[in-house]
Amino acid sequence: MDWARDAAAKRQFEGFAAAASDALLRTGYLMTGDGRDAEDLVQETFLRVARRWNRVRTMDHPAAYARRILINLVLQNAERRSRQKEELALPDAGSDAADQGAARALRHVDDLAEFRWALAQLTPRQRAVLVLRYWADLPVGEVADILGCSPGAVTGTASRAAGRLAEILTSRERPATTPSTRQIMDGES
Amino acid sequence: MPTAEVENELRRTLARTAAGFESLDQARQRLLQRDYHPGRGTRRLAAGITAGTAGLGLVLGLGLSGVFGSASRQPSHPAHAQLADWTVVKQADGTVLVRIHEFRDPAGLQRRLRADGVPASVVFFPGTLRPGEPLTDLVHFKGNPCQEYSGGESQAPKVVTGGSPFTVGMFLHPSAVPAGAGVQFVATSNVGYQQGPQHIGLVEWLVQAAAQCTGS
Repeated sequence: MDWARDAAAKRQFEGFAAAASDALLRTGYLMTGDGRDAEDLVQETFLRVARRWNRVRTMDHPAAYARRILINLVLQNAERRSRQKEELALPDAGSDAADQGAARALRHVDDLAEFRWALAQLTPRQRAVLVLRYWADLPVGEVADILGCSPGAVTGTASRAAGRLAEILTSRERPATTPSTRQIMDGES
Repeated sequence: MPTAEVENELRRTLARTAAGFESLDQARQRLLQRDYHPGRGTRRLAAGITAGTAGLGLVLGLGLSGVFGSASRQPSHPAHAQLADWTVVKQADGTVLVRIHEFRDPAGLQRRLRADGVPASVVFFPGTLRPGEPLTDLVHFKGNPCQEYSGGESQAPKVVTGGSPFTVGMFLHPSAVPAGAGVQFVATSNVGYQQGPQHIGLVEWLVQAAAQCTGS
């Protein structure tokens, strides 16, 4: 698309970017725990959306498409780095006792920086499940669609992620300095 | 599946954390200044930002916030200008994003803002701003159907946030409009005597809600 010849498309994209930037930045912030990383993620997301704008502009929900790109950027980067298998297919290991502990630990979160750090200790897929399901408030099926897994895997992962968060928050195992996540966009084209 | 209690705590804590993104406005402004034209990579857009910042400084002293932006053409007469191409986007949280590409059809913009829950008046300044006259004088034109809302100085920055509507967009927060108040936007196209020939000045201030002003 040549924006120099299609000023309307350019303006439409700018309107989309202005409207979508807030939610995308907050999503990136929750996924990375860092404002500058979130900005990098959203910039890369906008670049990718712009390259496909002729198609994206006709979608019912371009912002949802952009959110999917952003989440996948985080997941792809993590996969490149670790090549570790995620645990999405494992059965739900949650229990009433673990749930009670998770609720108690979350209820007593006073230091949001500590919560961000705890969130960053989860696997990227666990973070994505929590952010999409409980912050973006997406239905389980839509989260599963974005992450390419079954709805059961989403609910199981949500339970395990909540339990792990509670463990981390309770054990107060936070190091003296927050680990950097600044290289998250390394290798992106 | 986590219990409902855990889910509620997760929602609450994630919302608090997301709301704690302190530099979000700056990050958003930087992002929206970049050029995402395919094949070019990103670069900063130059239009209007400096002038916009200067505009804010000019009017904050009176508790108003104002912005400048680049208009694509100069109307022959401010009161009869044939401008605008604007976008108004109501977001899920009730915030209304306004971007103005050309300032045209103020009545249409006014109708759209009111429909989106903003008790608004949008008008062109019917006169000519004289050199040295502060931008804030825009709101004091003869026949203005709106009157200043008492105490609006401290409330206005909560009602309108973000950057210039001519560049990165401004955000209107209907829920922050005090009871009995509305917001009036007054625009003029002849601030170019200071900034060059192609600038529009826009001032917003809180006014008393009234049928002849904000429609209700």
